Amino acid sequence: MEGIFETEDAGAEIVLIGQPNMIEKKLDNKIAVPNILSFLTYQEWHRQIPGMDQFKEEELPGNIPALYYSYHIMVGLGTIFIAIMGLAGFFLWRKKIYTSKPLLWMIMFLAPFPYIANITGWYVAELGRQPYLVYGLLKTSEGISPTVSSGNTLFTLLGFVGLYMLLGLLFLVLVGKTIHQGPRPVKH
Amino acid sequence: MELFWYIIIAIVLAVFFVLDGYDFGVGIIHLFFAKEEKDKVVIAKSAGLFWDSNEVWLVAAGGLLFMAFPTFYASAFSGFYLPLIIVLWLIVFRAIGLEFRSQFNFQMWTTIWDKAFGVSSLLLALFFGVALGNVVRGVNLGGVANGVSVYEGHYFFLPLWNSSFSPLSESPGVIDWFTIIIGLISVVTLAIHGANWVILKTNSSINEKLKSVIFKLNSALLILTLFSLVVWQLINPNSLDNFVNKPYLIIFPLIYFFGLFGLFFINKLKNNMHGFILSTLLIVGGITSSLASLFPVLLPSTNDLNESLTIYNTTASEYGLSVALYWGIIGFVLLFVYMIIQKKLMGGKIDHMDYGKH
Repeated sequence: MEGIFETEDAGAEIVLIGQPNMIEKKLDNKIAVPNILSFLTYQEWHRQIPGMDQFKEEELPGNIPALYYSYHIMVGLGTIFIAIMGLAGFFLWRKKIYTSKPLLWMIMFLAPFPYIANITGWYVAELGRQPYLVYGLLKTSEGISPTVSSGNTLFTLLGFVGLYMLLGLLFLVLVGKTIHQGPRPVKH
Repeated sequence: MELFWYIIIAIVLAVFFVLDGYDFGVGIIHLFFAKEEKDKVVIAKSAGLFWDSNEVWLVAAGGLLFMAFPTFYASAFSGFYLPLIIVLWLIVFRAIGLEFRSQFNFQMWTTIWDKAFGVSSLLLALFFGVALGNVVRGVNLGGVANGVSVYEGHYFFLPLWNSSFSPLSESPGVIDWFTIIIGLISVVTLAIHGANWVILKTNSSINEKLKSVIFKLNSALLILTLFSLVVWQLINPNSLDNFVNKPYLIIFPLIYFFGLFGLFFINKLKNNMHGFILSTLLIVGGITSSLASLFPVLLPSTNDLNESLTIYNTTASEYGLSVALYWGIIGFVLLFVYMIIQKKLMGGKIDHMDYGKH
């Protein structure tokens, strides 16, 4: 999740940017701030956090890069949202928000990103607890329905894909309609 | 404790079919009888204002089954995988039909969503009846083929249908001629219930016509009911044993037939509420009678190799059941408070109530 491949005794760093390299077990092009992760987790700057080298291979999630990116997209977007909303709150307080165009443009283009953050957050929860269904108790491989064949689940998966495509299209149409109508005129 | 939770789940299920039943029925009435735009809007609204809170009871029933009878839940949700997913899709279409209809005001758009609402309501009523038919008929537990169980004894998987469509075959499908009869009974019952709800909650111009519709549907229901009882005897000769051994259980079929005969006097009833109460008795009586005839079995086995799933061999631990009691009480208090608030806000006729602003 945090992309910590090796345990650092002196405290764990927080990674802002970097690409997980699963062959050499390290992050490429890393930009990181030292000791922040230890502080965020335990409120102690130099506490050790176990890295992935401390776990057995079969106890680790199967797809580390997907998990790493999901988590960083979610947290990154969340941090950007907080920053922009803080700024907007400040502008609202100074009664400047309705006249400051760059900020309004920015807020408008933010609209799709909460959905992305939402979905990647969900990925983190699902990918991050693999290979368990209930962490430490029930493995995913033990939780499947023994009688439902993969052909049937493929059928329902395709059905859901179609259903969500339809819902997605309708959603775009309706959001487009709302945007087209524009905001209600301000009463003086 | 098993018995206590069994009764609670039976009540929750009955409440679900009474409440969500009327909005399935409203969908059926909407599909076949609403012709003028004004009626269509009002009739759709009489379901649209309530359906989501009513389906809380479906979620509650599912959650309670998971909690109290986990083995049954695991078995049934794997075995009925395909029909359950199809029910889910239908619920989605019904909901978007209701919610999207008024977003644009041109004919093609409103027609599409009206039909989506009506057709999926009809199919849902059918499928819930078929589901009840499956539970009453039983399934091929363990997936027995040629005298050998393919799965563990409490697992099964039902195809949507098999080539013979017969409930008597070794491994019956979800849809066969017996479950279809029960499905039709469900459609007719819920259509009557929905019609009563429309009469009670709206001033639509078809209210008078709906009363004669109810009378006709009720006649069909009487015939279907008697027919299904005969067929049921053929499929399972022991189906009425519970009523012979425990005569007090007869109260449930009596409730059903009281509702059924009462509805023949629909045109003479002064108070519209009475019609709705009669169709409520119909639903409550129908579900409780089916459950009472099975008790303590939850899902009968159609083969001799694996025993039927009962409330005793699928239950959770005693500890889990008693802990759930405390939380269950809190949940039910919240549920009732919510229902009372909703009833206060949306009492009376709803013709002039604004969607989303009350």
